[in-house]
Amino acid sequence: MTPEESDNLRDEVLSLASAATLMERVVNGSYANSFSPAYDVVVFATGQAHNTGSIDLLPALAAIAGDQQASHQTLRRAARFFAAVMPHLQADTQTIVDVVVAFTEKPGENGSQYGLPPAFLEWCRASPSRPDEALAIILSNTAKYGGMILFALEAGAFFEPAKFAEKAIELTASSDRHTAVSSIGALGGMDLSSTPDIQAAVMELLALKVRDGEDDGIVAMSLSALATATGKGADEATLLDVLKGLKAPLGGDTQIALAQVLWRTKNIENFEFRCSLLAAAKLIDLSIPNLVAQLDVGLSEITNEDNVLAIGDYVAEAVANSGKNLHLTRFQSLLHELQSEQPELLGKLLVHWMLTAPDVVRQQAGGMLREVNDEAHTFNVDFASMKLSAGELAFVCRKVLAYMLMTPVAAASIVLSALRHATDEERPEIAELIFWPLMINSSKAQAYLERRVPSETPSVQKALNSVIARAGKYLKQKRSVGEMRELHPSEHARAVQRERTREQARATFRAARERSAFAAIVPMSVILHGNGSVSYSDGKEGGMQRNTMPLNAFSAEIEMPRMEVLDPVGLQWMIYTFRTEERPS
Amino acid sequence: MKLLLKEYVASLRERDELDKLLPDLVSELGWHVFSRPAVGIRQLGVDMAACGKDDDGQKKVFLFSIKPGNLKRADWDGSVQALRSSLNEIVDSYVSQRLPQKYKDLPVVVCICVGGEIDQSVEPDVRAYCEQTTKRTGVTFQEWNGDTIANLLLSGVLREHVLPQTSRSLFQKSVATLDEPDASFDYFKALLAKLLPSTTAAPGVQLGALRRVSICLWVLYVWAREADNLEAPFRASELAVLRAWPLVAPRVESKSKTAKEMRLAIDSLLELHLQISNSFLDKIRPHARKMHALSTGVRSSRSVDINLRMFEIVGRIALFGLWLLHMRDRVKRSKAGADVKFYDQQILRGRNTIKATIKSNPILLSPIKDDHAIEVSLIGLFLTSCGDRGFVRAWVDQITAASVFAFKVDAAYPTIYTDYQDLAAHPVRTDEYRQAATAGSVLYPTLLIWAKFLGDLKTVDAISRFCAEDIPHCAVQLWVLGPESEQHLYDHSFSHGQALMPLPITADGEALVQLVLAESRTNKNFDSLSVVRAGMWPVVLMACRHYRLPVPLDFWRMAGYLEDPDVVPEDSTDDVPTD
Repeated sequence: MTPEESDNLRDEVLSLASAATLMERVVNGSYANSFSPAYDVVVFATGQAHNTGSIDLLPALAAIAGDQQASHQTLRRAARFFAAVMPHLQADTQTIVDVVVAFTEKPGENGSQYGLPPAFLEWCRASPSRPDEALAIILSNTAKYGGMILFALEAGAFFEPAKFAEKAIELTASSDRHTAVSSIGALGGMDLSSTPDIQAAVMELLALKVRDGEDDGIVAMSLSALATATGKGADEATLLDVLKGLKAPLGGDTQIALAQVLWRTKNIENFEFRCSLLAAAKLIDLSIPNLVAQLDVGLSEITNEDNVLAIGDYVAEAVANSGKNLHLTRFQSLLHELQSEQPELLGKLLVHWMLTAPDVVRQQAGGMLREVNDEAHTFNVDFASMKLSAGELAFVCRKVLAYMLMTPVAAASIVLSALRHATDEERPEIAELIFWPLMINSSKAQAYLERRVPSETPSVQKALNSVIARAGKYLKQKRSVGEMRELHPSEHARAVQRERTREQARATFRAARERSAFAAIVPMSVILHGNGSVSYSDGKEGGMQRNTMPLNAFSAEIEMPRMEVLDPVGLQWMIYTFRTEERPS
Repeated sequence: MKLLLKEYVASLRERDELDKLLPDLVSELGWHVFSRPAVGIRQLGVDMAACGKDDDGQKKVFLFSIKPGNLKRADWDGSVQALRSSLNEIVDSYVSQRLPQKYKDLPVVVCICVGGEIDQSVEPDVRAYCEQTTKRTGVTFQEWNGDTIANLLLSGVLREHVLPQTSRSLFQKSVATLDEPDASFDYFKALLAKLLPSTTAAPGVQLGALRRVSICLWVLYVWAREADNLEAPFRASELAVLRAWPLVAPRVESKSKTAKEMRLAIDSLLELHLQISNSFLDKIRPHARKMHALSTGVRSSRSVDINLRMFEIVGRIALFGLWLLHMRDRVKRSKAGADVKFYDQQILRGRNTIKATIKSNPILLSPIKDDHAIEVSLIGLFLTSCGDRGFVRAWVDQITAASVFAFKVDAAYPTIYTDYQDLAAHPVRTDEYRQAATAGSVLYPTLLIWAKFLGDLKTVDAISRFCAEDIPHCAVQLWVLGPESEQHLYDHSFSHGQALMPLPITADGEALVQLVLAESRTNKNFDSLSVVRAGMWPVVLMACRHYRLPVPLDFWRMAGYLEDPDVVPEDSTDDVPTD
């Protein structure tokens, strides 16, 4: 799913969920169609809606759990959805407990088999108050209705770590494969920090299983458990040692486990450890879509100022080596995290890519920013920390302009950062780039830079004011012709272009409808006039209930470079020249 | 209709505009014009003199003193240029000293000709002057104001049986739709078809038709000027010259009175076209140096519109420049030194405008149509004749580089398509389309030859490699006139001429130059064109530009470039000179 599609889906779900009565539709429709554990946009959207007070999710879920008419499928999906959304919810423990209990009390094919108890266990671990009693009830329910070994062992270890760890170690040798695999998994989930000896033994066992596991499943589960345990505080040396020993080709499950190691160990902020992880991650075959998603989640969790460039290099290499199979936007969690939470790191990463990455990565990096409003993405790049050699500053600026001209404000912010860092000798060249091609092509960039002037240093102000004045003169002259009707296209030409525009709009609308995930699950009605609708339905007490549905307008705009119209071949030539320029030696 | 004409007469701004209208007008009344207006020359107060029958049926001599617009007090008296001084000169000197002997016995009428009205504040003075002078000398006076001239137009040149209702309707529609130049031009084109007789019609009929076309074109031009949109009259005047030429063609070498009058009539049309071209240049020139200003003036968000309009503009100015070169040569031969200077200045304005326009509108480096080869040749011929060799060389090099680059990256490369709808969709990014869109080319061999003349062998080599490696499917060709071209060149009534192909495109370009030289020596169709025999070679270029035909390779021979590329004049300056 592209970021754009994710955003659309998010908006649609918010819109649906705002009524809460449609929760079942969310569960059965959007969520079932686009399930992606833990990082699904539906989960985020509904969690966000709950936390901001737009909806009250828990009664809605409780209603599904308590609905005698609800099908098993609905219950399964709702439980799975609840498990996924639970870590993101802001709610008091008792309310959560009530809903979990409601699900696990269902007889037969119940929610316990779909991840709800483990999710609750995680909730309990994070909770300041230990709801032991509730956990005991849930454990009992799970056991009563055929619960999972893994969960049982993990939950048991929550109360008596040593005892249950020993039991799990014993079960890893079971001839029943399911029992053995589940036990390995449970070992990873146990908090054995209070019993270091047992923890060490567990780590050694898991490492052994990774190296000598009988099959891909065992190796994968062992690696996952090892990573989980490491992430929870066990000594990272064992995991590092195991990772270094991994050799291609890895089994499919092992690759998934390896991809998950990143986020399982997200708490370990050790640069060398993370570099080793990234080196091991090169064994992953990224042509498998699910693996990219797993890896992406991990990368988004571990990115920080120290390792962002290393991660950038890893991603760039992966994209460059994939032919055309892997696009940068597939790392949507990483990019989203950087865009929304750490824009200064994204700026740094972009500059790093412009400086070092292959053309395909630069192209994709330049295209990934969507500028829906003026300053959606502006960057203050710390060029000083990048230690560029002579000539590289202007070189980077040209690359930024060549690849990011469609997001001119973002490009302007990076070039402005370069101007701040430029020496007296470098400044004129950078300022010239701000004038041409940046200001010549973009009024948004010009407006942004004009707004920035007051907060810049005197030397930067001087350089900016000079190019702004030039740009002003250029624009004034450019518009000075006014109405010279001899120059205008003929009426025939205008009619042809109008028809082409209409046809393009129709095609865009068709494509938007075809790609809308939401359009597939709801019927469409066309409103001819007004900005909302009113409908009546049967009320709870037999009367008619009036429902209103206001509509919102969505729009997006993009500024095309002026030269796209005034000199398209010249613009392409400039871009080509800048893009093919070699890095100064 | 009368209102239309009255407004037109009142709008004639310049003195020589009214001057140009009157001879045609009185000629159509059956009068004989024996003294025509000439720039800077007034014969003792007389701007024009004619002999003919007055309303009373008596044959008289009419001496015109012409004043555009309204006559105000300042125009009447108080300076040497004032009308009263002119009238005194006419009465006191011209009548006695300059009146041709054969008209000496005829009554003399002095016509005070004003485009608008005589101002009320000065009218009593004028009337008193006329009465006193008539009493004193016997010379009578007539006031020809805008209303009178409009009436004369209606009863003379545009009278009902000469300009029938259908033609009047087309004419009026053409004027009414000036803001939609395509429509206005189409109406005028239809009007031309109705007005211009066949070449077998009686000479008097032909002459009358040419004068009527001239008057109609004048009205159209003046109204267009008022509407601030010269597009329709520009195209209409170009077409009028072309369509009128076949009437003159049989008489290019004749010295008969009719032939002379016919040549005067076509000159009048041509002068009007050049005046319109000059007005057009006046509008473009102030913006030529401003970066992207003219491109922005196209007011379109589609680069194809800007591309087409900008090439159109520079093509028009280049052709105007070539006309000016032609006129200057004519004047030089007649040894009128003062006029040579005038043309030199005009030529300098034209070349500076073209160079500045190209420099400040870089879309002119990337032609979207293969037939922009016409503009390349027009500009090449004009600027190299003016000594701008370096500029043309750089421009040809840049066009080549941009066209090759555009083709390689699938941008707006030159295509054989000319229909706007096709150009709007260009380029479609499929191999089949690319092949079809570049199935033939006149542009590349044209660029190659120019590069060769200008000594740019790097560009010659680049084009030859591009043709061989990237567009081997393309039928590169040039165009030569055929034996039937004389018949069809001026009205484009039928496809004519021949493609010169295949062309030997080699790395040094020499083989192509030799082939072109051989063909231009062998093919005599260019030299036998009536316009060429009449020394009016720019008409060929006009036809090529108007009907989108490639410029015949004979112009390279004519310029002397084929035999000796070194004759291409050296640069007079590296930069755009100030005019």
